[in-house]
Amino acid sequence: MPKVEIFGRNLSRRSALGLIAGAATAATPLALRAAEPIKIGVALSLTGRFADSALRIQDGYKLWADELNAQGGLAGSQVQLIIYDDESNPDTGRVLAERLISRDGVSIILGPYSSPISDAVATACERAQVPLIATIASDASIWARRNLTWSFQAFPSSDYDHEAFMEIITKYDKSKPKLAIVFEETPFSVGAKNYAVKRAKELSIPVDTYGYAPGAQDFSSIVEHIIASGATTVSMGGYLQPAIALTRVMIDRAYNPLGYHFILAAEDVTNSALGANANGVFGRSAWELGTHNPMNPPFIKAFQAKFNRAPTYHSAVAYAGGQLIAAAIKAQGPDRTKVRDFLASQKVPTVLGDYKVNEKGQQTGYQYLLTQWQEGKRNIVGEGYDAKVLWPKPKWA
Amino acid sequence: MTPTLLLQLVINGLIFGGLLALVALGLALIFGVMRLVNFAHGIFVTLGAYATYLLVANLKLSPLAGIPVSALIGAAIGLVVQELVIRRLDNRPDLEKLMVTYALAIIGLGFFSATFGGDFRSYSAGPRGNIAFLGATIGWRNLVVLGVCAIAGLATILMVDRSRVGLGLRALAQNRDAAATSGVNVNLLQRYAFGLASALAAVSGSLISMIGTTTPQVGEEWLLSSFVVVVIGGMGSIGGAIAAGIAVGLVQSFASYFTDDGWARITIFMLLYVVLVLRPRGILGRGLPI
Repeated sequence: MPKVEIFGRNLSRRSALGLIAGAATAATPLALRAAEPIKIGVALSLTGRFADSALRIQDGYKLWADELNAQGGLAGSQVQLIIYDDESNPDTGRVLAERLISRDGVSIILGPYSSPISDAVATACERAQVPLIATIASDASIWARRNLTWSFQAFPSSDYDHEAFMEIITKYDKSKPKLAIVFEETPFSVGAKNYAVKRAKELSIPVDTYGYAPGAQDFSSIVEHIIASGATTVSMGGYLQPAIALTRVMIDRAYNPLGYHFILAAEDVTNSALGANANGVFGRSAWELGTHNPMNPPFIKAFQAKFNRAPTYHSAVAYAGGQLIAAAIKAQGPDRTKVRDFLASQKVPTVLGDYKVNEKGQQTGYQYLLTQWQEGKRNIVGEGYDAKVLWPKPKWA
Repeated sequence: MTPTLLLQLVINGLIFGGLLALVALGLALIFGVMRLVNFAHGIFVTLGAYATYLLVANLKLSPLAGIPVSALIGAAIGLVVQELVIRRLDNRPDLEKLMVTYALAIIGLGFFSATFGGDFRSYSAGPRGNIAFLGATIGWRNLVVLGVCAIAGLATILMVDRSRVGLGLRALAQNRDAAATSGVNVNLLQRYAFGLASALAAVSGSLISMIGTTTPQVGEEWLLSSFVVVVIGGMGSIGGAIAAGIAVGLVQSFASYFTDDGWARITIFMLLYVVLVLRPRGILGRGLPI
């Protein structure tokens, strides 16, 4: 066997080849690590009752990741989304978050759909000390009742659900008509009701509140109470399905409020569910196509080019979540603690507006837009927007 | 409480109770004739709701057309289920029958979830406007619901009481073996009962879609309350199911006005408890005879 001299020692060719191979192997991980992608974990409701909305969130995340990677990625690395299906179940979401952290080694978790699942995922993130951007968790009580230091609300707070509508009431009816607030006995809705009662006092609006248990089917009693109380404005702070059921009862009962708002009225399904009766109904929205934000037009254009349809607010909030990650890593690198510190302290412009959280991690920067259905079209109403408010609400068709 | 409010609460209770009674009617019929507690009954409610939704959304028809269409589809699928599954359980233990119907319910729920997704469906088409009645108000949709429930209930009672088929059903309910010995075609009548019950459930689903929203779980949500109604009215008693349905609807209406929806449900279960203690066979419980 021919001999090779390496570092003053005579080695057989076989040994020399082995030595060279070993050195190359040892060197390779270093090279690979430099190109390793930045892994971002997502537990999303790809199936189950939240699937329709969550799939649109997935679109927003994918657009952001593809766009970023096409531009060269972040800090020299590509971004890799790892998405699992939480089946619209909070417990499954929490387990998947743990898997994403411990098995997949993600650097950051992007929010699941809905406050309950975000709440569950936050538990895993806090334990593992991994930043969570809760992209679509409106329930501010998640942060109010716990000391969360790694999870940040990246959606307008549900505390302000009724606020814009109350301001419209004071603007368009100086007599300060009585307001009936209907709320679901769930944390986000109760929190919104409590804030609204406080705010109503500040605005000198007389207010009564009516709660219902989750899963309630019959709203006729609540409507009878509202009618008996003399309230002429109504704001419903529950989910879309009970809101439609409540509206149906008001229509059948021929109860025509001067102003009517339900927080999820801005969803397209409101128009198909109520038809002409949607006319004049107010809703609140985190984002609309016509939002005045310089980041909007390129986002909308890119989304339409990729998916051949206009984005909904779900995709916009998801994209905004990605923008936060990009801003944090560009400023501080992919270190989890530095990303956390950045998200906790910085103001970041996104397609939703200026992201900013308070010391508890609750969103203070993003504000809801007020929308109103007008002749089959959903318009943003309020300061800075052209559409005039319809007041009082046209009578039910 | 003013007389107008009293009347309004009664009307609200009759609407809710009428729908409950319609769902419970089919359950009572199946139990009376086949001695089967049918957990799969709810999927026919869901079927009727989605069938009507599809007619409105895709074919732009009035939901009123959905009522007879749902009845036909419910009956057809009910017959298939009866022939392929239920009939083969004839000599099986009761627990097995229960588990099979429960399995059917799970399969149905999975089918609707997979086909339509989790989000609710709703439509705006249908009767519009309302009428005033002695100071109270009732929407035309709710009037349709009341009317259909009343007609379906009355027709079912008349069929059971006055027709040859009804005679056979009553004979089966009283004593299956004796009825078979007397020449009653047991299989045919069971098919008829299951098909009719499924049709009634589908019609109730159609009506529910008109005044509410439709989800894959809508049938299951109404099923639990319907079981309560059937037990209060008397297992197997059609008249009992109707009476109990209306009673429960009225209790729900008044209780939820004076307390809230949660306490109203508790009140209904307390009513169930009282009936079970004082009259375990139910208000009119003595088998299929009215």
